[in-house]
Amino acid sequence: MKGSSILWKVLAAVFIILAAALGIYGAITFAAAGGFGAQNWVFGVAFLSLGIGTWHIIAAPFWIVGTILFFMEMFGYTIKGFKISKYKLRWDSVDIATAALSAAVYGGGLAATGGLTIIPGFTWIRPANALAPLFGLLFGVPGALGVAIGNLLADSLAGYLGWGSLGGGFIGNFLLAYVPYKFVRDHSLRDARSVAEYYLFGVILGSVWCSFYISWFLSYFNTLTGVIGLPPLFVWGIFSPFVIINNAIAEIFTPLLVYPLYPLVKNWGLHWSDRIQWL
Amino acid sequence: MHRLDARVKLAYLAFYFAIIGFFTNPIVTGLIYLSIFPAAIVARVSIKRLLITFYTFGVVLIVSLLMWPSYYRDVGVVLFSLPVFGEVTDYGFMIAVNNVFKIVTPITAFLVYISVTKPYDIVQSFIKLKLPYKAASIASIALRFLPVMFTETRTIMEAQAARGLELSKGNIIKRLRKYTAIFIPLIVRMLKMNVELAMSLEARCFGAYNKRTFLNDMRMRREDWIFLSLIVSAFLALIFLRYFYNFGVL
Repeated sequence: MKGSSILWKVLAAVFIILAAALGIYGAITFAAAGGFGAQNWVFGVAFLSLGIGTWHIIAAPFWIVGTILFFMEMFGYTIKGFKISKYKLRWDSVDIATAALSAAVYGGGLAATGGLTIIPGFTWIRPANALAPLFGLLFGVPGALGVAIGNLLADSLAGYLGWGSLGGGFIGNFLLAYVPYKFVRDHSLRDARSVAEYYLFGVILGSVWCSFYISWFLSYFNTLTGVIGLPPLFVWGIFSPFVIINNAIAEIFTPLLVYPLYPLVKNWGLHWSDRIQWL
Repeated sequence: MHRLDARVKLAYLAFYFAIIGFFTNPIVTGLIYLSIFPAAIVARVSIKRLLITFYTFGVVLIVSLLMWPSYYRDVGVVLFSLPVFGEVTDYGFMIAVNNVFKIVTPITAFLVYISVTKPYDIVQSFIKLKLPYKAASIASIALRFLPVMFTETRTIMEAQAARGLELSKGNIIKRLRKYTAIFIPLIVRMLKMNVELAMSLEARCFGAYNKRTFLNDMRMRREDWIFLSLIVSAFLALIFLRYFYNFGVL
């Protein structure tokens, strides 16, 4: 048992370093390459070397599975132990308030904390992205739904609401909160295994899934209909890797929020495990 | 514009979201974009809000002009050449400008919609359109509390700054870590508001009945039907012209 604990600690350390390295290296090279007009950003070049057609194939399952999972959860079905299980959330005043305030805090947090500049007036990281996995771990599906709505509200207030926000950003941000909720076993993050799971699934997988979900919609839907207007080169060469890095770097610090807040949420009976009923 | 039924305003928004994707000629999409402004002027949308969309327009224009023409270097007459990005033809330039309008038109239309529609009416319109009222309520309550949470965040940031927290100093990692001193008090505040809000909702019998009634029930009036007919007619006419006469296609 002691040996396995040490193993999880080592794995946790590896995943933390991997996530941090990805985030920091990506942010610094993005700024050095010239920000959103960059043609030679190392991550962008790596993405584009695979070709846009390849990315349409790679990212399609992320979009399809993500959409199915979203609607399944809204209708009270989830995947538990590799089986589809039915559950009941009361969606009473507590759940409604949780979802609404998660949306307000996430949207307001995105707007208020604005951007952490890397180069003044040029590139930025959104610290409030750290709240997305937090709301998933603490509040489950209502929290994840709140994150989705909060991002929509933040986009609309910032003047960016368009097809991308509706078709990609909404469920993409839902997945950012949903993936750690689903994949991390112990949401208190009080042991090495749960920390390792959080960094592997919550940070790395969650950021990648969110990015691929939005990017596939922006790129493939535009190829089919021509409605979106963003060039695929921009979507896969800059937008997609930037979203991965932007999410990952902020989410590295989410455990620092979970650790003190989990006991509070549990004591007040607001944790999702206290409100769900398995059928 | 303010007095129209919220469902008609939603149809107005949906019109712009839907119609802009059908055309590739920037003159047509530009006219569709400009058609939002008379409604914005009549609705007295604040200039400050419109300026946000102009900023977005500028940024998207630059990105679009840099990237889209690279797909159409072999189509049309070369107009000029950009370093790194290569030659820009007239066709590539038109496609780039067209795509700018595709992005900013829904954004501007949404801005007008949100400026002329009260949150209460937005919720009611979604419920009238058969969205579950709990889902509509989440959006409505979130909209109501968004400025509250924004202010709370700012207040906490100022309070922590008064206690010596320097958010702008240090490298990226240190600066991000300092934000935990903002988010923890914010979430604690949110948890307290959660309990209070839930009690307020319970006290008002939220969720007691499946069907919700409204004090000011929305009803479509003659002006609403006229405006809705105009929107639907305009949409059908443009689609007809597009597919039978290739109107608006490069």
